[in-house]
Amino acid sequence: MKGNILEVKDLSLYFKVFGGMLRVLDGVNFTVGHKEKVGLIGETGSGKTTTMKAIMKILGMTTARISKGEILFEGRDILKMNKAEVQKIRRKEISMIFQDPTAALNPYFSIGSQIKNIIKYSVGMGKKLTKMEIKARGIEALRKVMLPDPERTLEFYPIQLSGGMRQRICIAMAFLSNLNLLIADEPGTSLDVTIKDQVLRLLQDLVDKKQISVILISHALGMVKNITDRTYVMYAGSMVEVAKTAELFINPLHPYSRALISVVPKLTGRGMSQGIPGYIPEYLNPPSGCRFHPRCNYVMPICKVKKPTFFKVKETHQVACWLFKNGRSQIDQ
Amino acid sequence: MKKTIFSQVLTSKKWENVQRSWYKFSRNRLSIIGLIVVFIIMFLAIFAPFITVHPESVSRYVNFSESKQPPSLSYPFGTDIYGRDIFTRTIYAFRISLLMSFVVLSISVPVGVTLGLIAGYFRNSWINILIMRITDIFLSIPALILALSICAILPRNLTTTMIAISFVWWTWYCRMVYGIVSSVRGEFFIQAVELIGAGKLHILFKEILPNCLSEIVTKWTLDIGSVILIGSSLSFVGLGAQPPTADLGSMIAAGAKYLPDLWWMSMFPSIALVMIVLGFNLLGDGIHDIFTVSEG
Amino acid sequence: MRVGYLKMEGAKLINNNILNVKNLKKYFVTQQGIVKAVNDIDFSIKEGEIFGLVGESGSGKSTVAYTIVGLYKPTEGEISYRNQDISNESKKRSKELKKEIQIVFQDPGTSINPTRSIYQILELPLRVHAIVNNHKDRTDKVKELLKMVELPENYIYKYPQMIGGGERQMISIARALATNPSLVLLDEPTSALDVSIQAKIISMLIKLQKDFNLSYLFITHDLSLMRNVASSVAIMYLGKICENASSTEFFRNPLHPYTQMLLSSIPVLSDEEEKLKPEKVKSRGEIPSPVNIPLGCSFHSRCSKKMDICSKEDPSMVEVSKGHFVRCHLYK
Repeated sequence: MKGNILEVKDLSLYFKVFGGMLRVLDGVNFTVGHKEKVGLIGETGSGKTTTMKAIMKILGMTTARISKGEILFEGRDILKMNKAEVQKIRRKEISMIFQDPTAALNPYFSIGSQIKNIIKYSVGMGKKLTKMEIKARGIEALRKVMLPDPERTLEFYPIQLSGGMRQRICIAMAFLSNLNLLIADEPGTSLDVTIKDQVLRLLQDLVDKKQISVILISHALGMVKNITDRTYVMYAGSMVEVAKTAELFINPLHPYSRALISVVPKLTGRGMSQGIPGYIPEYLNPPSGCRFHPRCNYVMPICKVKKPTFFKVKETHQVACWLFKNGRSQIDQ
Repeated sequence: MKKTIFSQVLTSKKWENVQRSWYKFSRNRLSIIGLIVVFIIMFLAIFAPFITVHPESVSRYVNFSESKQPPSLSYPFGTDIYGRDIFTRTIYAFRISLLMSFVVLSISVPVGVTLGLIAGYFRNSWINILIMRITDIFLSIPALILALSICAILPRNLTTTMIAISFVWWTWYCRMVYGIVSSVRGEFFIQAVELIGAGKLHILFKEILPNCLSEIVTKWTLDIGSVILIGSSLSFVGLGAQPPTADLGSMIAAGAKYLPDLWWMSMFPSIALVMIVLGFNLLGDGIHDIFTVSEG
Repeated sequence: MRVGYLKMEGAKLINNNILNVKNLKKYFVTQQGIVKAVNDIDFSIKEGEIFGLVGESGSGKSTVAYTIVGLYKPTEGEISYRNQDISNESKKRSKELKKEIQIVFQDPGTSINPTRSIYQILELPLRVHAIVNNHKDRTDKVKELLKMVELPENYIYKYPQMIGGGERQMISIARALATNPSLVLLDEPTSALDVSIQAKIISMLIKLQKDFNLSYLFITHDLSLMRNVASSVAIMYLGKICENASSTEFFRNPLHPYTQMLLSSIPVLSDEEEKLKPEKVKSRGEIPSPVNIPLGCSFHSRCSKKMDICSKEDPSMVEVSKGHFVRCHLYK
């Protein structure tokens, strides 16, 4: 298929609050190709969840305003669509898995009834499905995610299940429709290490089988490295680097990406890094020019004035940093 | 714990805190209306002697030549059967209403909150059982009935009515604070302070109580209207402020007999009562908004 | 069962263990049954060492910390601090003891009171333990504490919601250190934080430990972190310790199947590290609920090397090499 399934072009967004505007997103550029698994790395406060919420159009629209940009899904601008069209996309084309499966499931309804609703409204649109059919699809969905005894699980309430099982149910629910794009926001963060491993392997399996596109958002770099084809690094409301995943972790170029990767505790070497000096910027009054400049070891005068755009270092590796302006491909020590 | 981008918006300046509170409050137009209504009422109540032209109407005064007059320029709300100016009496009645709510809440809130704190903190002790059983008993009887029964055994005047209502009212605060304390007590920050070795008094009043403040203040504001309403209900049946003191409830009761002919006797005090209660309710909503931490 | 402890019985303290835990059990009675959160564990912490305790949910690691600091009273067993038996609840402990052992909780959002200012939070331990006796000295000491955790002085006027999660955690740490404790229990202090902030806090914790010769009980589920922090490590599973060894030995030669499963699940960033992981032991099965602990070895339902005896008999702790203890039928 030609083109990209999702293209976010120059998206800028702010929140209107007491004291002014929180200029959270500042020209986000982001593409996801068909059947591509894209990772999005960023720390808390970088704006990654806000971007995803904007895509799914579930931002609190009272305080959030989009000042410019487009979000193209299969070539059509989501921001210009009306409610009905967006609903259709949400039901059939894009699914989202959240960080905390406990919060994503309604504690007052059994698993079966929640799945039933999804089947009725997303899959069954247009055709009348009998009770038997709905139940059968529900059992099939749970079987797909390796839940033991799916039939009994349908009767359970979320509180009776473990965290790993809840996350698997959320995944099952996401895969109920014939989706084309899956957005996974920090999946597995609330799970134990061994369970997280299992759930992520399962997710990878399902994604590969169905050949869908995935956006995997996380601040856990290891998870992103193992699953994705291409990865973006996000800082303070815009993308600072994008590359093929393997390339990014072997040869990170942007000073922030390098700092971030060096800060993760390792099984080799000795001792912990000291962290990245400084703090993430304040969105009421963000730094001028490149938002990372106050914390950057390689800061130059132009960094404080003008925000860098993506510079191509390789065909599949771009960096938003003035150091790489003229096709330079590494930082001189 | 998810930190949102919005924690950065906060600073430590006191004036800015006031400004921010105002910002949150003023987003809801109804709260502003409530604030205005309350201001007007308080202004009228305080400056009653300077605004009204017939101050004798609140005392033992009779003027049958002017009695049963419909609303006119000299008597904006008309006169009652004794010839007293209803407008003057209504304004003075505000004073009684506000006084009643002030006294009742000044007694019942501290008592209720303290008992709630103690009962909530010392969960497995006799004092908890004692306090909560008493609270349950009081709460199981409708407030009005309970107040009536207490008034029935005490001499009939405004003071005893206020005592009676306070007797009933503390239990709501006790129950509310008990609920909050029960959950706050298990929080890590309380455990941490206990582990450091802080004294019980400090923990109750300096660590736990501030976490209840938002609910207490909100309820307090909303209660002003409720107390006035209960007070007026009691005076409607003859308790509370005794004649000739002007009081909304007794004025409504007195005028009820003469409906629909002397409609102004009941109508204006009733509207006034509605305005007070509504005003404080809307204000209470706005105050609740100030304490609500909204998601960005 | 550690060598040091055995030498202690009946003789003078030979090596300086600041904390000894023996046969510790903590059971909770719930509606679903008895939860054996901590089910007979032994370990010791030497003075000035960072002892790591690793485990997933249901392992009981947090319960161990809470029992040591006095939030719970042990159901059975002994905890001794500097040879003094402290196996009871905090309210029965002396004020002196409360000064000596402090804890930092996992969630920075709920470990400090949101309605109190930073100054009030930090001066409380100073006041309770009469460390300094007048207002001016207290303010100075509070500023000193802030400096120690590299936070600006003007933070004394701030409230918790005004500062980020990482900074709140630093306040928790400053508060714990305000009384000059000797033993600090850290329950997943950075699990709720981003990597860059985690690095900052961990390196600060290590520096403070060296400066003041503190002993830490460091609890986490992150093995990569543990490797860079602790000198001894113990792994817990469903209330029991599976393996206990020095950090280097542990990563060089993990013996218990659960340990191997944990290590293979660590996501790493470089191929170099990938090679260091034990052969891929694919994790499988769910962690059983602590109300329903399987008979025999609690791990047998998920173990790839399970033998017949494993479902019948609970293995006991064995010293495989000096200082390296395992509890598994494979090693007898």
